[in-house]
Amino acid sequence: MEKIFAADNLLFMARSAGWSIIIAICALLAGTVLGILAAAARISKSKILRAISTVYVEFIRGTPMLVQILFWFLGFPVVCKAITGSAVNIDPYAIGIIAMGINSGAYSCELIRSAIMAVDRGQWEAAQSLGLSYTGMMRHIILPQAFKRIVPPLVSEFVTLIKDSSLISTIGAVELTQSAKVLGARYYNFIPPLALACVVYLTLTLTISHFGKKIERKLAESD
Amino acid sequence: MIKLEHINKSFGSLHAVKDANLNVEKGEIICLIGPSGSGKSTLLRCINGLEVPESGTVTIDGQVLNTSDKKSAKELQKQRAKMGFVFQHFNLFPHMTVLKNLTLAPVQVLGRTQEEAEAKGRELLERVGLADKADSYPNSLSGGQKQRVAIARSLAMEPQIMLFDEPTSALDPEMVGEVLDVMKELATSGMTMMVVTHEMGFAREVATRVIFLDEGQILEEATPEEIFKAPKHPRTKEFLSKVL
Repeated sequence: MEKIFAADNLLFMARSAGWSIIIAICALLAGTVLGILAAAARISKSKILRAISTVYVEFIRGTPMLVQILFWFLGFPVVCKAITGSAVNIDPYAIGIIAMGINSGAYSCELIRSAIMAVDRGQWEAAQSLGLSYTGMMRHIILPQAFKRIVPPLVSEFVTLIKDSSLISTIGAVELTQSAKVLGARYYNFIPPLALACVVYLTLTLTISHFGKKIERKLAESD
Repeated sequence: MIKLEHINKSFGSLHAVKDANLNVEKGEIICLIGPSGSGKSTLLRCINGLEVPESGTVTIDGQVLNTSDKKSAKELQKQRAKMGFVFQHFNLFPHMTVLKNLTLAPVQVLGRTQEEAEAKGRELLERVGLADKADSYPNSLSGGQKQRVAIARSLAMEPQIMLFDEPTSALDPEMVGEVLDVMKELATSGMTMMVVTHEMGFAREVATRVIFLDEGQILEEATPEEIFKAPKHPRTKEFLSKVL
């Protein structure tokens, strides 16, 4: 027991927890960018863009994230080889970020779209009547106002991503869950490291939710 | 300057504007009056493309307003920038200061520098009597102040014509005067204006021409003198007897 929680083992788990956070942050950022693009496509006048966005969102939300991660991990090298002709070394962390970012984008798309549609129609009309271009209107008028409504659900999306980052332990990335499994296997005792991992996850998610609520209150003040 | 020909607009089964024809010359001040739901606002909104008519053409400075295809989006933006539009509910941008509300479009659309736009913006705020509110946010203003800012915001684009869609209808009675005063001052300065209004006093005093609409049709147009003293159409008579 003392050996499991020796300083360098704890350091190992802390570093791995750092990876979990980094992966979740990167996936959140990638997901937000993808979500904005998908939401823009969803509300655009082009039928093709709308269709692409709908297929993307429905497909991602309708299939398990674990399968998506495996698909990228196992499928990406095959596709790369087919295109470049040579085998590629793939990094499980990068694949994890890609898979989770694409997954998160589908969920973000919906919440961004609904936040955009919730901006008062008068704001769109005022922007149009001043001669602003569509991009200018989105950038200066609509998105800043939609942002307020986007932030709270995006915080819970971040919490989800922190937890779901445990899934990429299956492709060999040493994040928090994997580190607990490694330590458990080394000392033939899984309960203590897994329990510690749970405590770390819980601390992370509660902290994020707490700050999320603070931000939410701040944003509500300016209404 | 503005020419409307055979404009038709429906919302579902409601035929909001029926075959409207209208010519607006530079410097004219036209008041559109009529009962609620008579199509006044819809007609006004067709002029700057906020509503797209089913048939008919809107011509601005000899150029047809094209709202149908995407290729002409740039052109439509340019035409819209020439027309100021003042809404019943102000529609100020709540996340920007009053001054930023005034400078955004001149910088983004007309390509002014921030300094130029701010100088002009402050000048306009002075003109509408709100110089001290430049750094306030819209939500801290009264309704009358909001509407004056909205007028200044439109004027910042140096429009050739100002369109007002019931600018005082959402205001508390004691604030109507301050907004009408700004509009009167604007009228004296020679601005071409089209005003949808229920303020008959304003129409009588300021308008060069009054247009009466009912059930989507332009029933009568005349000078305020003629229309208020001797309305010709029985519907105009009936309407005016109720509101005056």
